Amino acid sequence: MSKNELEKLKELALRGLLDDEKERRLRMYIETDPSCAIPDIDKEILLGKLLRNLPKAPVSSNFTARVMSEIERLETEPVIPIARPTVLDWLLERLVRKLLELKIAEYQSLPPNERQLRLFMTELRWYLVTLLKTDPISREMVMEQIPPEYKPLIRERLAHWEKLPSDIQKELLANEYALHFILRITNETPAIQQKVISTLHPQQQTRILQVLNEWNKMPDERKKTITDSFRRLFELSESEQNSALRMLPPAERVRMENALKAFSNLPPEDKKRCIESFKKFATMSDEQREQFLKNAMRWIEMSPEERKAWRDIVRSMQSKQIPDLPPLPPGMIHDATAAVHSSNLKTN
Amino acid sequence: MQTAKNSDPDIALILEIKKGKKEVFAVLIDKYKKPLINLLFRLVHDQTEAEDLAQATFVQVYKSLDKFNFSSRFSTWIFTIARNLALNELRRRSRHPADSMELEVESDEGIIIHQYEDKRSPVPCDHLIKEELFKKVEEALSKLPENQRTAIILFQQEDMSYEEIAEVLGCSVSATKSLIHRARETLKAILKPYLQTGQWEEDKHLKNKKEP
Repeated sequence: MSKNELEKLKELALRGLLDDEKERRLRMYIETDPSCAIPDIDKEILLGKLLRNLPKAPVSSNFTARVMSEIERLETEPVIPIARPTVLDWLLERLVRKLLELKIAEYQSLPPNERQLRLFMTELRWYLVTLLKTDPISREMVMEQIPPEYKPLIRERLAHWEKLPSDIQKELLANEYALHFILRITNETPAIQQKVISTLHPQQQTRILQVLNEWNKMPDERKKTITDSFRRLFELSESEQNSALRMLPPAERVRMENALKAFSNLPPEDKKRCIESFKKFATMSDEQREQFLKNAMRWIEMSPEERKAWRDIVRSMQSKQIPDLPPLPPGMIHDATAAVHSSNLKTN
Repeated sequence: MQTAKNSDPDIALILEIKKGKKEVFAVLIDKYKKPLINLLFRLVHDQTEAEDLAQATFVQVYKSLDKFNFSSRFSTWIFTIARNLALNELRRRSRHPADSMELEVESDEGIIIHQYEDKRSPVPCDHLIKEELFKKVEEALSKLPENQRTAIILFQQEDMSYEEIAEVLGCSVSATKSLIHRARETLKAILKPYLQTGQWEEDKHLKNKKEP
């Protein structure tokens, strides 16, 4: 009998799952090799059987129906807030809001391409880490949930993952967040590293410093293997970056496409007016443009009644002469502006 | 439920539910109601309470299913939720012991009288635990600390692997093994008079045995 089989039999004994044949084999083995003896073996086997055969708690026959009807009730019932928010809730909400605002501001300050890539990478990382933690046999089912544009990238990374030694896999999974951070600062001087780490939350600092300490002790070869694998899994190659950018056009490109679409849908006379207005705008000085844009914004924000009142004033001042509408500013020919513009024309 | 390396057999069902087939959730309830109620009963020692907690567990699971990302097995996830709910209930009881132990009611004459739980009234599980030995085992189990009790029940009755139990308890595999070992040592000590013989299955022998 191998050591492995002996361990299995011992566990079966503890679980109370030994049949007569297996119990005979176990006892025989222990007799021939006393070094493998289990203290109190008879009691262990008995206790295992007792616990296994302990009657299970009964279940009401209508339990499943009861739970399903409770779920049904909760789904149809309108949600009514029960408790008033406490000061803590209020503070937490403000804190979360502040953190989100800071994160959004950080993203908005990035150049459009970089922003899109970071968003793409964040989503890719989310799907990938979930799949890496799922056992290999179940992965295909989880893959069904993933948007198609990520699937080829994830499949390629999973194939790479499967080839990695298990100790590297464990290292990457356990320290994924810390490694992400460390690899960004690894080439900096210790002073800069310290400065960057000090900006983190105290708990994160402790964790990062712990992993960084282990990292610094690692042989260079292992560091290289981990770095290469990390980059292969959690970063995008140049060609992948390009295809990601093609898949997710930058916000500016989307805005421009919408503006052009709105412009092409205008009737010919409106198009002509837009072009003339734009020419007029192009000849303005910087100050005039700034003032014009402010006025245009105010005009857009006015209610129809306010606009009508202004038109009436201008009409009376110009003795029945219909005033020019504010010309459209460049880059603002989106749907809303176009709709306002066209409704103004109809009103006039 | 054993062998963490195998595929999670519940994934297909969960995906169906996520796609909108609510009725498939009944299949999951049928699969897990017995083991869940069994564990919860041994944690709270009350059949009705155990079923209520199991119901709350299933409702919470249903509501949180969108957040379930398959990084752990469904079975360990549902047992973790059930255990947390049971621990909340036990904490609530320890803060308000009067809620379950003693009821004050006003008699017709306006005198406050105390009503105590009738210990003799049968709870459903008592019907099943007919054998004296099983009663002794139940008593011994109830003396274990909660984490040891949960670990040993999941190990002996639900066939969970050490890794799965560790996930439910939120501790390491070695700590889980240690919990199970200590639980068994305590049980062996309490049940020593009943474990002297290899003939425990023979009712006659057990019934003749007297408690020391």
